[in-house]
Amino acid sequence: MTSPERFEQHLQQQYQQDKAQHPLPRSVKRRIVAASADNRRVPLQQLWRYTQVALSCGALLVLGYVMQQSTPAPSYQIIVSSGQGYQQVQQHSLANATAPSSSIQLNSTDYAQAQQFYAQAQQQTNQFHTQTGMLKQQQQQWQITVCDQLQLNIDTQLIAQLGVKHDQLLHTQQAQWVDFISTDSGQILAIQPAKAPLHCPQS
Amino acid sequence: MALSFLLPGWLTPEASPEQLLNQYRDSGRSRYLQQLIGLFGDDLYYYLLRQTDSALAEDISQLCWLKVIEQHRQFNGQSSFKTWLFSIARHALLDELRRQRRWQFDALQDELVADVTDITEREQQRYQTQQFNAQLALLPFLQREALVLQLQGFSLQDISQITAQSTETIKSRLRYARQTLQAFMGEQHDQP
Repeated sequence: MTSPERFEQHLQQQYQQDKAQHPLPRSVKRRIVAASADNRRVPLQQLWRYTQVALSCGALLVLGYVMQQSTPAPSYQIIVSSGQGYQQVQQHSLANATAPSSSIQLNSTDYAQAQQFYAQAQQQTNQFHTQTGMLKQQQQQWQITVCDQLQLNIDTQLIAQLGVKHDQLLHTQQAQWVDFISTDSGQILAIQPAKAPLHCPQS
Repeated sequence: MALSFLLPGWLTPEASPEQLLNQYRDSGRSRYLQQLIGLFGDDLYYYLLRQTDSALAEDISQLCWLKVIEQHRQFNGQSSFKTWLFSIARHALLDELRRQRRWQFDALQDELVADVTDITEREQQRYQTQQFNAQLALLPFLQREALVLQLQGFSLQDISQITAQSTETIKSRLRYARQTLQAFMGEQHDQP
């Protein structure tokens, strides 16, 4: 039997020798380090995903902005001509397309503000012009004639926007006298039953 | 201080394993992990190798380091990094042995007081290939584990923590392991 000290010494010696002969294989080390590198890539992948999402959101915002810019609100358009037995013929419509050179294209915002101002003034202002004319429905539009001086052709989209509250004006096939209120630029703000018929001078 | 900040590792004293783990946790750089593997990779592999075969020791080593990579934030500093590392390895090893149904037999062996005479006979049969690892291999699993961990430099408290056993149990295992090995070596020295 060996002494305890000698045994411990021998044990340590044997242990160290044996351990030195059995290191962790390099192939295992390489696999672990490679796995560590793969593990480190995960945050980069997540970062890339977040970047993609952020870029997509940004692209959608830009696209929305561009589409908003490229599809402007319809503007109030008046095309003025003469003939057809009237001194002046005006075609009133809401148009998205670029107006022809002979037309007056008015800013839709200004028109909306004028409508709002007219409504707030409770129609008691002298800032707008009131004229009386004969209203009648044509095929795809409404027509107001003021004797042989003026003919207004108003498309149905504009009539709808005017929000004509007097339904009887639009639900009768017969021609009727109306008062129509317009701005200095000629934009029609309202159409309402005439307080009195217009007497045209005999030509 | 400014220079040591610019040249980390050059002008600063050698980092402890716990500091290396923190640096790996903060930066994700594999060189810190490589340093940890350099410090403990061989010890861990040898511990596993003496408890099982080389193929499984390699697999468990790799699995253990992968857990360090993935679960490094779970290290709470209540023990040394090495103790934590060996705890992970032991759990992984026992899980694998249980899965392979190799654990129950070895565990039961711990309950038996080694029959020195019987083991000596077995050791004599292997006389031609008597090596230290062969002698270790004849020890019961838990005795061998305690002895190898102690030879790795772990204290009784560390081994107790790694194996989740009381220090008295560890002492007992170490005593039996030494008695058996002393018997082997005595026989070996007595050989003409």
